Parts: sequence; C-alpha cells; structure tokens
Amino acid sequence: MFKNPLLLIALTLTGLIAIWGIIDTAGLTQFSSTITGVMFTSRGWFVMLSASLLLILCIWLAISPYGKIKLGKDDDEPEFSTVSWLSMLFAAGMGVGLLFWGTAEPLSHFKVVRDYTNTFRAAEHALFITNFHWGLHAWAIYAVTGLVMAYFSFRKGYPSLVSSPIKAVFGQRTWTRSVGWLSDLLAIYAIAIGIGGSIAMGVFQVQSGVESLFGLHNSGLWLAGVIFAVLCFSYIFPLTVDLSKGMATLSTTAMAIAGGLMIFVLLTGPTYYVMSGITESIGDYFARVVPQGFKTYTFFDEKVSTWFQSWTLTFMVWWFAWAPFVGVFIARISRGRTIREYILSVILVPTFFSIFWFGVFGSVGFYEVLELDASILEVLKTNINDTTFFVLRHLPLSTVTIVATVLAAFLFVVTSVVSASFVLSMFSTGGDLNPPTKTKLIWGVILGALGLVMILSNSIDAVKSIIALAALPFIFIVLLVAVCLLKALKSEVV
Amino acid sequence: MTLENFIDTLLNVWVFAFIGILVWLYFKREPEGNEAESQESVGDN
Repeated sequence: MFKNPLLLIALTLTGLIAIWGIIDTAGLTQFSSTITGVMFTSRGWFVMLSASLLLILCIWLAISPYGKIKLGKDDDEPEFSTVSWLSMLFAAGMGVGLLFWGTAEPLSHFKVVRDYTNTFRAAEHALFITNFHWGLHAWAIYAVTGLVMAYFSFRKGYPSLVSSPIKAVFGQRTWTRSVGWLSDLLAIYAIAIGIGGSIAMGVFQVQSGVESLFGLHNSGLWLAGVIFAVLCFSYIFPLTVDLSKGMATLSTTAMAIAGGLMIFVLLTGPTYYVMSGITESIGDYFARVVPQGFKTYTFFDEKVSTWFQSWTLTFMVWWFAWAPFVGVFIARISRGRTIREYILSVILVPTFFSIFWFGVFGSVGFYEVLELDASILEVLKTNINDTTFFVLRHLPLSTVTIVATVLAAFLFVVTSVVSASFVLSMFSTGGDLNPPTKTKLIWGVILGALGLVMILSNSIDAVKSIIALAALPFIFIVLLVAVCLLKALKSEVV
Repeated sequence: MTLENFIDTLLNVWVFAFIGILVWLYFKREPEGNEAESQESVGDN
C-alpha cells in the first residue's frame, strides 16, 4: 500500500482537509466560501455551458447511429432484467438529498422568487427550478461519466479508472500519464468530499427526525455526535466483509421506504392539489428546460446572483462531484445495454421520478403556505433540517412516517459510504476490483472524518460550499473524457 | 485594472485555453497502435 503514491497522496490530501476542518471548522468554511464565490462569479457561465453541452451530447448520442453500439462485446447480453436495472438506477439517484430537500428546496426558491413576481407564479417557478436542479442536466453529467467508464471498461477492456480513456485514446505519453494520474486524484478527492457532505446531510436529517420524535429542541452537537457514532459503527463492519448483495438489498429497502413515503404523502395529503402540481410541473419542465440550462442571471441584482450561485451552480458542481462515484455504479450495472438504451433510461427515468418526488413534497409544502397559511416558512428559516418532518407531522400516522424517514436516511448514508469506500479503494489501487480490506477501512475512516468536519460546521450552506470547492476542478476532467469517448467512437463501424 | 478583474481574466483565460486544447485534441490525428500500446499498461499508477 505504501508503494502506491496515488493512494498515499490522496489519503494525505483528504486527511489534511479533514484535520484542518476539525481543528478550524470556521476557517475551512470561510476559505471554501470565498474561493467558491470567486470561481462561481468568473466561471458560472462555464459550469452551465458544460452541463448543457453534456445534455446535448447525450441526446445526440442517443439518436445517432452510435446509439446502436453495445456497452460490452457485440454478443454481450444485459446482466440484469430491465425492471431491476431501472430500480437500481432509481436507487442511485435517490440519495439522502431527496429526503432532505423534498419540501425544503421548492420553498427556499419560493421565498426568493416571490419578491419578483406574485406568490402563485413564484410557487410554479420554484417547483420548476427544483426540477431543473435534479433533472436532465444532473443525469446527463452522470450519464456521460458512466458511459465513458462503461465503454472503455466493457467494450475496450480497460480498468474502471477515470484515467483509462485518456491513456487509451492518446497513448502512453508523459502528458497522458500526468493528466491521467491527476484525473484519478481529482476523482478521488471529489468523491471523498461529496460523500462527506452526504454523511453530514444524513446526520442532520436523522437528528431532526429524532428531535421530532422525542420532542427535543435544539439538541445541538451532542445528538449529532451520537448519531454520527452509530453511523460509523454501522458502516465499518460491512467494509470488512463482502456484502455486495446485502448492500444492494439495503439500498433497495431504503428506496422502497422512500417510494412508499411518497405514495403515502400523495394519498393522505391534498391529492388533487399534488396531482395538479405534478401535471403542471411536467409541462413546465419540458417546455423550459433547454433555455434554463443556459441561464446565468447576468442582468439581475445581487440577491438573484447570490441565489443562483448558492443553488443552481452549487447543485451543478455537486453533480460533477458525484459523477465519478455514480458513474462507476451505473456503468457496472449497464453492461450489455446499447448506448441508446443506456442514455435514454439514465437521463429520463430518474428525471421523471424526481418530478414526481418534488411534485409531491413541494406541492404539499405550497399547500401549507398558500392554502393553510402554516408556519412552514418560519421552520425553513430557523431549522431547515426539520422541513420534511414539519410536513409529515401534519399528516396522519406521523410517528410511523418520521421513523420511516429516519430509517431511510440512515440506510442511504450507510450504503453510500460503503459503496464509496469501495470505489475510492478501487480508484486508488489502479482499478483493482477486489481492493484490500485495509484500504477500504482507511477510506471509511477518512470519509467519516470528512463527514465530521461538515457536521461540525453545523450549516448546510457550509457543506454546500466545501463540496463545490472539491468538485470544480472535476468539470475539466469530465469534458476531457467526453472528448476521449467521441474520438474513440469515430473508429467504430456503425 | 483591479485585482478582482485580473483574477477574473486569469480564470477565464484558463477556461478558453482549455476549450482550445479540447478542440485541438478532438481533431488531432492519433498514430496507429495507440490503443494496443496503452492497453498493456493503462492500469499502472
């Protein structure tokens, strides 16, 4: 292990960030907010343009003759049935983020947008923006990264590494070795920080659920610390044994709970209102999604610019941070599919699911604000982590649904950390599909430490800026490997 | 020129250069045998 410089440097780099964050949380948060602010101001246009171009690339690949190419040898058949494959795609897209942001995100946009238009249009636009953040653009970033990995691994026989396409297309040269090495390092760095953020969000969510169940108020860091300790204990054991099937079951269970929760809220909430909201947001989304992808709010005031940076740009770079991790996952389950089938499923199915999810949780939130005049906006301001639970408390069987949400959040985080430790170990050991347990454990500890840093920051905004800082450089890598794919496809006979 | 403007220019010039390199790499002709050569040692770190 100590003969592998990539592993050592990656561990040192992420370890140093974790130590810095634990010793001086405010300093790290301030640093990442400042750098992210400068980057977003100067390169916001580039982030949006990159995401939009990746979506256009996906659509073009799906309709072009290249769509017929198989991700594997020509006689490879899909490993999973279409139904299981689609459920696993759902599971990959359904992270703890959806549980956290279901109601909180549409309402956060609503609070800003209503200052510029009337409240009803503000609600409509808030739902559209939320769907935009979690829709086609996000999945296009994942789809391209996963497609490159799947194509070069299964069709060309290279290791599942971010650097493989660069070396495969441009040969073994000094620059390809250096850029390839840097790409692997940046992928590891982006995944590690991204998962750290996910741990923090999961802990915040579980903490609010526990507070809601036991009537605790402002439990502070001690409860977060206890939840974090239980979480670490829960994911360390699975790292020492081969539980790939068990992890898939846990992930599907979390997914089933979240799906059940969505249906429960739809049926017990104002069903006509929610269904009308969903129908409207489907039309609204597909009518406006392409121009929105190029929107940078250049001519708006400071308030809108800040909102754009802290939401749209942050989400877009967030997807880039998760791209190597989700990309490897979706690539692994997509062997034997054609490029067309892969792209259409990866970008369309989760997008429709997200529209339904935010349609349900967002519309229930708007119902509270616009029809009942409930204090949900106050909750959003004082304790954003509690927003989902506020909605659940106003529906029947709230104890059961809150326990279910806490359980789903917990399972999502455990499965994410276990899978991420595996992917990080694989990346840092030259693509070894069975990385040593010791390496997985070290990554598990580092991810825990990074999660702790973000928990100590005690602010979801700090979490967002730290992730954005790690993800920004990875945008360049995704674009570079996309060019590698296009070059490689030119040599295919279709 | 303020420091902010200077940093902004630098950051964007880097992006323009990167886009230029991507376009050049896309159209650049690769010598035959790149793939076979790199397949042998692509996993080395």
